[in-house]
Amino acid sequence: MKSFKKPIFKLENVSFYYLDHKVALSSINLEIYEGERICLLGPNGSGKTTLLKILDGLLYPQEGKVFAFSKEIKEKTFDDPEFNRFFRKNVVLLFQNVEAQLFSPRVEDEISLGLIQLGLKPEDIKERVKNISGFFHIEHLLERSPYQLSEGEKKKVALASLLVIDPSIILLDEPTNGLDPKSAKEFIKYIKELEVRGKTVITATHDLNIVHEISDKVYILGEDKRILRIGKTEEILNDKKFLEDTNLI
Amino acid sequence: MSNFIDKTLKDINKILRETLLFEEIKESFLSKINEKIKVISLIFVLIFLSFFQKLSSIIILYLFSIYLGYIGKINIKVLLKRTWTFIPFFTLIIVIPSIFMIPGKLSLGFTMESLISAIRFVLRVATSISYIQIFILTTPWTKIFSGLKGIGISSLIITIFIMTYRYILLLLKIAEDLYLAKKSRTININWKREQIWIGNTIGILAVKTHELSKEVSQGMLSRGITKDLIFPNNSRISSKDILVLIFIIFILFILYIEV
Repeated sequence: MKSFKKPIFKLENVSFYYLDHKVALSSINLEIYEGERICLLGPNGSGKTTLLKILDGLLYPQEGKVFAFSKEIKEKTFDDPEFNRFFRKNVVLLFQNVEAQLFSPRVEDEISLGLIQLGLKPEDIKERVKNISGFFHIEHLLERSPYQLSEGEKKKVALASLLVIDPSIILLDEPTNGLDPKSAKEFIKYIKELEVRGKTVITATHDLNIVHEISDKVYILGEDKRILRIGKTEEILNDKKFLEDTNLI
Repeated sequence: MSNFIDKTLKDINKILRETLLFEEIKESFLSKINEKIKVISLIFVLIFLSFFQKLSSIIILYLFSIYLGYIGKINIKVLLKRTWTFIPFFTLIIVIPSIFMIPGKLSLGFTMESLISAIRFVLRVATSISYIQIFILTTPWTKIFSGLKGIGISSLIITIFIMTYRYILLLLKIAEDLYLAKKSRTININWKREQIWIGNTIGILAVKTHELSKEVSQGMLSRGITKDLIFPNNSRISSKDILVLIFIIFILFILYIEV
C-alpha cells in the first residue's frame, strides 16, 4: 500500500439515522487519502450506500463530523457556490440505481450536461463527449434515449456522464450489480483504468469476486452498522472465518 | 394481454412512452432556426389558434403543420401518431358530453352548433399538439430549455420541467414492473380483486414516488445541478430567423382576419 499525506475525507464518530431512530451508520471513523483504492464491504443493509452519500455531501450525519478537503462538511457548506463547484467537479458518485441520475432525453445531452454546468465552450464539449464515448465504446448510443438502454449500457452512460468532467474522486455504489458477467468484467476494466490514472476510487460492494481487482484496502461494515475491520484486501479476503461471521460468504 | 385492465395499462404506457421519448433530430430547415424564435413562434401559434372561430382556419393551420413536418424531415407517420393518440384519451372524453348540452336546432339528440363546437375544440387541441411535436422533433433537448430560458423562464422552473419529465418515465417503468410482477403471480382473474389491487398499487406508487423524488434530487445535486442550471448560450438570431417569425405571424394574421 502506498503512503499518502493528505486525507481527502475524514469522518469522526459519524452516526446517521433514518426517521430519527432507525440506525443507518454508527460511530464511523475513517480517513481516506488521495489515490487510494478502497472497497467498502458489507452485507445488504450495513450502511454502505448511506456512507457513500455522506462522502458525496448528499446526506449529513446527525452525530459526528465529516471533513472533505480539510473543510468540515455541513449542509450550509454547499451554499458557497465556489465550494459547491469545486466539490462537485472533483467528487462524483455512481448510484446503485443509475436511473435516478440519468435526466436527459438523449445520451449525448446526458454526457454534456456536466460540461455545460462547468461552462465549457461547445467545441470543447463536443470533443470531450467524443473522447469519453470512445473510451466506453458507446458512440453508437449517443442519439438514443437513456431510458431505452440495457442495464449495462445505462451504467456505462452514467459513468461516462460522471467521468467526462474529469473528477479526482470516484465513488461507486455496487457498480457490477445487475450486470451480466461480460459487462461486469468490462466495468471492472474501466475501474482499473481509472485507478491507473491516479484517481481515488471508493467502491461499495458485497461482491467478493471483484474486491481484489479494484482495491488495496478494505473497510468491513457489519450488520450493526459499524466498521468491524480495516485492512489490506488480501489479508481480509484470506480470513474466511471472519468473512463467514460477517455474512459475506 | 387479453383483459380490459391489461390492455388499458399497456396502452397508456405505450402512448406516454411514444409521445414522450425524443428521437434523433435530422438536420433540416427547421432544425437550423434559432430556438428562441421557435419558442416565440410556438407561443404565437397557440395564442392565435385559441382565437380562430372558423373551422377552415384551424384546418389550414393544421395542414400547414403537416407541411412544416415534411420540410422539417420529420416522419409524418410518427407526427400523426404522436398528435392523434392524445385526442381520444383526453379531448374526446371532455368534449362528448358537451355535444348534448349546447342549445340549438335539435337533430339525432345533439345540435349542429354543438357538433361544430366539439370538432373545433378537438381540432384546436390536435393542431396545438402537432406544432408542439414539430418543435420537439426538430429541436435538441438542451436547446428547448435554452430557448425557454431565452424568453425569460427561470432556471428553477426549467429544472422542475426536467425533473417532471424524468419522474413520468421512471414511474411508468415502476408501474409496469409492479403490474408484471403481479401478473406473473396471478392464477385466475377476479375482477373485485383486480380493482382492490389497482387501489393498492396507486398507494404503493405514491410511496415509491416519494422515495424516487429523494433519489433523483440527490442525483441532480451530486452532479452539481442546482437551481441555477446553466444551458448553452443561445445561438445568435439571424435575419433569416426574423423573416421566419414575420412570415408565421403574417400567416396567422391572414387566417385570423379571414374569420
